[in-house]
Amino acid sequence: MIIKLESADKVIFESDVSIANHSETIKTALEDLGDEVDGSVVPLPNVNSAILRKVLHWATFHKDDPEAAEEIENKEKRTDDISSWDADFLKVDQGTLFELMLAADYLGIKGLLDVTCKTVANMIKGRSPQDIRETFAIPNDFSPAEEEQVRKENEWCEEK
Amino acid sequence: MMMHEEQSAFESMLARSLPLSCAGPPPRPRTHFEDLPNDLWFCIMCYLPYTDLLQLRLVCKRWRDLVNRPYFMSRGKVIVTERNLHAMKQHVERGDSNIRFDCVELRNLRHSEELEQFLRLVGPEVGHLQVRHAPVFRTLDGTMPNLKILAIATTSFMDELLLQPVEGINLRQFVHLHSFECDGVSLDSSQKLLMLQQLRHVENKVRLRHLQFEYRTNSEAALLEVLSDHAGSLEYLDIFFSCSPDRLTGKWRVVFEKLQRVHTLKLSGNCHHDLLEAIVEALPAATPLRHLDLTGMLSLTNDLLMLIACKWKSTLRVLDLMFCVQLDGRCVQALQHLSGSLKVLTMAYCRELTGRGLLDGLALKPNYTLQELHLEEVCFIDEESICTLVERLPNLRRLGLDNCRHAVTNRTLAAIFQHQTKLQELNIDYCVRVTDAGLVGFGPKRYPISNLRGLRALNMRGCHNLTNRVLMDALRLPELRSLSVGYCNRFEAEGIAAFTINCPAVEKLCLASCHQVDDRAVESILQNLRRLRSLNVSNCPKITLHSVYQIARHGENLLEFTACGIDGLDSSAVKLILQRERPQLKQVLL
Repeated sequence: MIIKLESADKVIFESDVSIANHSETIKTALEDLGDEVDGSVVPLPNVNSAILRKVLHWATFHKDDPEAAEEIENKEKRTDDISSWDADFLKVDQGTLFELMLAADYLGIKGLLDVTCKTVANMIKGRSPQDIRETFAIPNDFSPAEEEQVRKENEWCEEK
Repeated sequence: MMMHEEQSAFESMLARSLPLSCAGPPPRPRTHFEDLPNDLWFCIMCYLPYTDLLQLRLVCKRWRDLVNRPYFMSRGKVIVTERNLHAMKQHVERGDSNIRFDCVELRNLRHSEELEQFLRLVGPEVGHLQVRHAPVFRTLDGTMPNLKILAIATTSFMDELLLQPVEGINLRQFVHLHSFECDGVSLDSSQKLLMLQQLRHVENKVRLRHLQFEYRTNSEAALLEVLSDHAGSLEYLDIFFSCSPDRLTGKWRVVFEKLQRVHTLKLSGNCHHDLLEAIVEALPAATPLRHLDLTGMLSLTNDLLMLIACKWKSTLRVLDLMFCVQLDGRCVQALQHLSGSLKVLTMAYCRELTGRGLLDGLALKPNYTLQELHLEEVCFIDEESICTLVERLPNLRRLGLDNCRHAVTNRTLAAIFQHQTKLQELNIDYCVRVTDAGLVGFGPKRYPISNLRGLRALNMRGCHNLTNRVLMDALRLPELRSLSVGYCNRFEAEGIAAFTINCPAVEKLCLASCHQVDDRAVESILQNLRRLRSLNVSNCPKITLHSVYQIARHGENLLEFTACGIDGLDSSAVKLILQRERPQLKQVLL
């Protein structure tokens, strides 16, 4: 069955319901519509068409993914297990990466949210604070004294 | 190919779904980090190790405050030493502290007015206290009403300066205590006996879940009474037998029959076979034993291991059998019984084991559950078996093969780099047959070590055939945090400089006895490894004071510096420079 999705900028996409159901948000909206699914349009006011196009692309490729097994008893989650298809898919500018993440969060697509989070985590891992500021264009809003204070606190702390 | 098909399927789907209506061109995404809500940054931070979180606190205020959430900060502890006590006290007194004192370690401290004042300030926050080499029990008295966990380690009962015995601690003041540890080398036996007596129900109403204590003949009765009193709540029990108990095992049986909740049991030291057997037999099969550590149990036989495997097959996940030297080929059956449920296995120093036996025991067919395997010093394993073993254990996170000289060859490394792509820690100290080719990529398919993208710790001490080529061409490991390459005498400044570029996240580096390492090498290390916390250049005779000046200039994050056994280095000058320029160093060994 084909359903219609409307992006923030009023572009209408057609998608197979099995793909759209990857999104908890769309799934719930469809359940609310009940029998009137046919011909009605699901509005997605928080996602623009460029991003929705990409999200549908991702969901189409991953439509047959099995339910991810929870990795228990590991305090820290892995980030080196991004599939090469996903890694290629996420070779986008930072703004797009963030918008994909926001869309995945809004649409409730756990797999896409996880893989975008991992990608951003990998941009942080092992880097110095100055590197990280440059990567994300973050202004340093510490006064020298405040920065020194945090640096001191970090020296006093260690992993348990 | 796959991707092309997918792509075209998607394109045709899109063609069908051409925009039916369109209101102007789509807006360009322009999203900045500020547009992501805290919830999403929180999700991202959940993927980061603790040391990265500390770095994030330095980026900007918003991230500092996010990382300051108890969820993240509770992964760490605050270490109070003689060097930082004064600064820390002032910091807390100013009232703008961002750190929590719920877990505190007192390290290398003695009693002082300042410590007492500091503990009065932060004491009520402390729930978990570690005392390491700090005989300050008198100072603690009455300052920590909310203490739940107390661990005492390597703390002498003598005040080394005053040559007086220190006072013990009164455990009755901690009414919320549920965990207590005191290691074998701390305090004297009469103080320990007093503490044990204070944990009996007649003295104290606490219910212990976690106990680590030393067995001595003089404290046997008190220990058995404490175990019996807390049998209904004890989940973690660790007993170190510093002397051998008598042969009367009945009293132990009575106590261990009552331990219904123990999930972790550690026994070490002089526990004779009769007692070990009594404990294993008495402990109820219904006990959810998850972790069993019998390190150094010379009395553990193959038969007893089989009994353990049968009794707790469904619950046992972590088994530590280091130095259980009686185990041999006949323990394979017990391992077979547990394979499929066991996640962590340590059989280091079990020298009677063979490669064939391990293969039969752990991986007759692929074993997806085992995540850690430690076979250090199991020196007679053969190359063929270990290659098959790593192929059939595809989910290992940690693998220890130190001194498995016959087993670890370039071919073995190729097998590891091909099949063990989830590995986080690899130990191959003293595997002297390994050469550059093994790490750069050996065999027709050439699997290099850089296949292990998630590798965080690599120990290759004593692999003395390795040269600069490994540093320049093989070690490209973005996640590597710790590298130990002692006695690799062919590593020189050029190689080390390349390594500091290729592995920028290294926090701990040991180059002890790498005789070619010089000041130029140290310079590139300090300049490029911006997160280095620990550096060891002991026995590197080319190191001079120039390296120490480099630490003064670039070592902002350095916490430990070790440079023992360097004749040409004036240690008093080093100390002077470091005390003046780098007061944050927690440990300097010269």
